[in-house]
Amino acid sequence: MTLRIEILKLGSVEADSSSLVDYRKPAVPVVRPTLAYLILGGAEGPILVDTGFRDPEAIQSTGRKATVAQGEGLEQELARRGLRPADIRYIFHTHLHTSHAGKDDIFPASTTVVMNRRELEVGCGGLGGPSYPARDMKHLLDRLHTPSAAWLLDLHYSGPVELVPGIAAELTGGHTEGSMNLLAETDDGIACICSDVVCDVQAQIVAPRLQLNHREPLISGTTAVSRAREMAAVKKALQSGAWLLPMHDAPARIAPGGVVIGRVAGIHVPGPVTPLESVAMNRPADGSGVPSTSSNLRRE
Amino acid sequence: MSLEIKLLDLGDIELDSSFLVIARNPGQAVRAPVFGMLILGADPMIVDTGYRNPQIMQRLGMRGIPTPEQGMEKQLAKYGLKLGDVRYLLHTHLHIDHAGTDDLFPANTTVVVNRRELEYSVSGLMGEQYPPEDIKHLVDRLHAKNGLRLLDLEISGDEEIIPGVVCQAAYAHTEGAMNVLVDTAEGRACICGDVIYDINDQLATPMWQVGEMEPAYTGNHGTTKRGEKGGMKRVMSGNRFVLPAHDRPGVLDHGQVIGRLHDSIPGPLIGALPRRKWMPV
Repeated sequence: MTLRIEILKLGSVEADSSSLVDYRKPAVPVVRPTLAYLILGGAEGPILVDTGFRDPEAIQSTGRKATVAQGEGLEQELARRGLRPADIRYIFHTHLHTSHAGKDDIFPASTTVVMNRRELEVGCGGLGGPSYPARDMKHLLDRLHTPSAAWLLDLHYSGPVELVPGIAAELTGGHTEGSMNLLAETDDGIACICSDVVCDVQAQIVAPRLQLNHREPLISGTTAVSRAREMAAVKKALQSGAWLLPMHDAPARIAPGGVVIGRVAGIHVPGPVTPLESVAMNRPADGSGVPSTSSNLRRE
Repeated sequence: MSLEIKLLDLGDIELDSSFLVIARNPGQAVRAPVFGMLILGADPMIVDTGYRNPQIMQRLGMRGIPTPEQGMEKQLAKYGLKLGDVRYLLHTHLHIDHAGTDDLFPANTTVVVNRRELEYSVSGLMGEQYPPEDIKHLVDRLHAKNGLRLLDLEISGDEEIIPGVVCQAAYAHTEGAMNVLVDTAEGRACICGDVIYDINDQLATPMWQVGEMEPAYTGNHGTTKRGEKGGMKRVMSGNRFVLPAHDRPGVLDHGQVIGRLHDSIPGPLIGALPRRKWMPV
């Protein structure tokens, strides 16, 4: 099955630098895109991965600022492709945070919303505070009690499952307890849509500040699981395909072994790639991420 | 602290006998009460709130049958209380006949629930036993200041809500259910929700059981059979009174049912089940 993926720009969120990358300097605002992915070419119809935030006010309640520029937004991005919400067969949710499940209610019950059962539990269990808005969760509860409006997965127990031909869901293992990765087969390798375990490809993977060990990425600054699991989840995502598709950063091209070698230049996956200048994993070309003390450990 | 418990008679349900006790007379309809528990002696507390309305029980293929004197407000009035007088509302679990009238209570009544139960209520694993109306109200409370007090009993161990009232993970019936243990002048009472439905057929003369002191299963649970056995034995151990939500309370002596009470703990016995002593052959 060859599937094509298009990047939809839903808006931008200004967040604190330290919330995106662990140990990064706090109090520096960083603007990140909020994305969704549209998967085309499947047998059952178009599939949407995540639906962005409900409105900028929904983001404000988590202490951040959101903007939607001219031409951005879910409805606009779909309309540009001649699609109405009712044309979407499935919504797959990486997870249910504010900027991921805010617009499910513009889709009819005939659009089936697919999520990991544990994520819905976490979304209503209070551990994430305002990151799971009441309105979004209550809409999902209505779907839960409407025939075929929701499809719950049990990824902790089942392992990876194929949802439609060419697309599998797998437990992310990180970010939230119920997050899932989506693995889509394209004619140029598997694309791994990786929830929010990777929020910043450059800062977490390409040039992870202060990391000494080989192939050791940085975890994000927002995780509900242990550090060990979060680290493993980043590494798992890197090993899961030829393309890495985060929800808040441009997708990356991945070489065998999990090395980032380029960034997607346009809005298509597969599509044109801008190669990275330095492809040495965890070693920026100028050596800037590496503290000088590391030389003491070198075997001469 | 000596506390008292009064049974609140919230409404009846007509349902299949085998739903209450596993493999008991399938196809035969039985009528069961729905009790909430009022704890007096400190700021008033309630455990469980019954069903939203009688019609909602049809979603499970059951029939809700209220009598004129039943219902939360009338039952509270018997004790000179109104909804706004209730400090805490505790939930053994959140099934359809246990959290149906929470939205009658004002925002300054704090609802106490084990986090795993709130999670489990949206899991879809027990279907229409968790009505969206009830759970959406709790999601609103989750986002209101002090609307909820969430417990993490499986990790924290027992948690005391006020002196003499302790919440304990039940590990039975549903994944997040809890027992409420109340110290009374005559011993500790265990409000056990639906871990036990029927004292006679599950504990006193347990159906289908051969082994000594083996309780019989209910016909409705989301955990393992072994979990259910352990959960029932947890209720039977160390408590003087056992208070299920759908049967009159029992009096226990070292895990054996020796009597029954009507609607007050402490209160007069309404029945006794004397045990024949073991004798050598």
